[in-house]
Amino acid sequence: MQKRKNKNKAAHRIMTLELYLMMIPGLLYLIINNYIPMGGLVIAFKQFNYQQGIFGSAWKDPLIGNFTYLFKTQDAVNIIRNTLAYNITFIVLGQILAITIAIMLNFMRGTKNKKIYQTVILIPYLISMIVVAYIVFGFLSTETGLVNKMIVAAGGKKINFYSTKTYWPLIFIVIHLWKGFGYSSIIYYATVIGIDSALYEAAAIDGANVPQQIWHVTLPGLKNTIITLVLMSLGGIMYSDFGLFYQVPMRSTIISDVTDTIDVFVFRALTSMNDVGRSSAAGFIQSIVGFLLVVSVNLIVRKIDKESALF
Amino acid sequence: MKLNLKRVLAIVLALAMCLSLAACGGNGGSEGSKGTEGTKETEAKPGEITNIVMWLPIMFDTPDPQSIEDEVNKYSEERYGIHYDLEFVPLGDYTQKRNMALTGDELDVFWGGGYSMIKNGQLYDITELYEPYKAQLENEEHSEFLPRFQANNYFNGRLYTINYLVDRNHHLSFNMDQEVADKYGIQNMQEISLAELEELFPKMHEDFPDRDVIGPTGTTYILGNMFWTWDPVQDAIGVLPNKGQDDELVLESIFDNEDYINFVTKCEEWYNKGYINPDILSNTNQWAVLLTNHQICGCFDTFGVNNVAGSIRTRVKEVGNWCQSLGGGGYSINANSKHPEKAFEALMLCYTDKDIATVINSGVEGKNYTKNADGTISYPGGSAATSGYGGPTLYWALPGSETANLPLDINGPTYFKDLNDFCLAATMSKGYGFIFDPTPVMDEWTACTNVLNKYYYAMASGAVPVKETLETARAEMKAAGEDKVIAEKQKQLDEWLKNKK
Repeated sequence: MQKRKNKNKAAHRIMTLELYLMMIPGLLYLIINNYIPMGGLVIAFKQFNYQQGIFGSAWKDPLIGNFTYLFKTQDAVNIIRNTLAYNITFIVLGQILAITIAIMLNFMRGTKNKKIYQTVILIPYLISMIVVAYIVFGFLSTETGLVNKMIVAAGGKKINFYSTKTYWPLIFIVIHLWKGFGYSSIIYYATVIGIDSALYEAAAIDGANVPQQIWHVTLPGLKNTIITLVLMSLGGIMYSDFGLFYQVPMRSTIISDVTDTIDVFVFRALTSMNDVGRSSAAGFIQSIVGFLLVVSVNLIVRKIDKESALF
Repeated sequence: MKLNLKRVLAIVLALAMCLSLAACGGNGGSEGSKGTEGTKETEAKPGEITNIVMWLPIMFDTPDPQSIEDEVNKYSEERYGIHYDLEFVPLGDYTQKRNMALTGDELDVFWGGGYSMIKNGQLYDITELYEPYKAQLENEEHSEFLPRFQANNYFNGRLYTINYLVDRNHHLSFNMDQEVADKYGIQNMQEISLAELEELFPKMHEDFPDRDVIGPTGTTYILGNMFWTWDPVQDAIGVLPNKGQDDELVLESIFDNEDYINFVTKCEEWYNKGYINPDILSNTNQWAVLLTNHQICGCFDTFGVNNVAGSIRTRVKEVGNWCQSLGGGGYSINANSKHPEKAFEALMLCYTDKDIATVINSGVEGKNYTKNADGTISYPGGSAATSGYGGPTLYWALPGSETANLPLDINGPTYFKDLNDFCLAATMSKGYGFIFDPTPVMDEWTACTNVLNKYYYAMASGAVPVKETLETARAEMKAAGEDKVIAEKQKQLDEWLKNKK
């Protein structure tokens, strides 16, 4: 008896050892790609010199000298506002749209129809942002754009979109939702079809109509997925879709008050300054704020519902 | 709150994920490489061959780079113990690739230079190394332009970059499609005033209804290089009016410069009259393509003395041949190079050894070019794109073109002499040679650069209302600290002028 138990223990040990061995490549990847480069964050506090390298370069005097320029510009308020406001809008509207589509997909009958629909809504997600920029240009061009043609046909005056700030928030939101809803709705759809159909049947027997079924069965079933996806998006809230904000306005600088996010701003600044320290500083702020957001939102989620928290 | 191991791990992982992006963004630079002062590897012994990596910009397909490299090494290995490892890098992403390469020690000689690279410690100090060559190069027989144009490569008395023969001074041209020029009887190199051009524009608009009258030379604006009569003194934050010819050099804001305001007001007028493409702000086509495809009648362009097939050049009277106060330009040596002295020798050989200069500038004879009786060369395939190298078209970016002295047929046998004379005939801005060091006002300068980038070029597109935009731009520049930057620049300029005397 004792012998057999020992044998089991040994077998168990070997099993876990195998699992740990399997983890090594992944861990190595994480260490090399994600942990070692973290040391490079010191660049944000250095007067970077190519001959002296990252660690040999002198410390910036004052230490936060690379950061101050971010707050000296009038643009700092703009870019932080743009980054946060666009991302929050994208997250909120994006989830609502994706969930709606996922539920609608679930109610659709016939596998063929479903497949066609799923494929069609996924296509925009696969299009490169540069191509999207030209599709948008096809709509917004002053000379040949569809929108301006319609405005003129209706007796209006042409709008030069690429020099007018007013319309861009709306344009970005429409493009983002159009491009992303297919992909995120599929994630939700996968969860929706995983909900036990017995629950729906039970609800139906109890007299629940379709909206009630959605409210009491589908949405609670989606809760964890929603929380996970929102948490993950919140982690990237200080980052923005560079392609969307850089390519789609065709790099028109005159509307940059509403189109510049932190990433675009840093890219512009770096290409005109060739200053590694300052661009790292902006990246540093982005990371720290993103990290704090994930941790604090997770904390809030834990307070409300322990099961749903990521960690 | 009790933290278990799992949770701590999860937090660490989340932190790692967030931070890795930031770290990647700024992850450049070799650790702890040696300084410049004599700590480099010892130079090659006699009889030994040193490998020098040199990056040359190219504009056209170079399908057989090895043949060019072999040809140059035929001379250099035996004569100087240098093996050129030539890399041909497309102009379009030369800067980006070079900046990446400069984080290591693989690249030795490269195209580029200037204040920010000096400040970053990317350039090797060549002041002493250049001394022995100075007498050889900076004389009438070799070139007259070098001594004059080398001045802007000195920073605090130290030299980092070697210039080459190129028109850093310009004429402003209104390039015209041959067909358009013929219709109005405009000749190549003809002088023309802005008023005369303005008389032509409505005629062009009527006679060529399917073309835009004025094309965008700067892709999204019509004044490529922003070359008119204000001297941007490198960054256009604080400019010198009147080509820098005033008795007293007083910097002013670009948005208060009379000529700038007049020009952009004209742009707006032209735009509203339909001479400029309504979609100019989102244009991505190069002017040369637009001109070849007959999509535009002409465009403003800067030039020296060279010709462009299929179109003619004019010289805008108001501007003339003049030179702005430029930052450094030319070829430099990587500060992290393993053999900086040998690398410098390899660069200088392009100026002093005719055979090496010939291969670097023109490629392999019989393969990439053929010689004509008058001393010019032609492309065997008829064009630079089919020649297999295209160097002769890119003389303005290659070192030692005057040493090779093989001008293209279209530019004529005396071309490099003409170019030299053209450089010497330029009216030089009185601020030429002054290099502004923005370090004391770095934050304000950065802020101003961002504001400037937003409005400076956009207004030269014609597509924005000048009056309101000027007001916004002025207000934002002031808020960004323009006054402080200009005051600092003026202080440095005055000091430089004082020391010059």
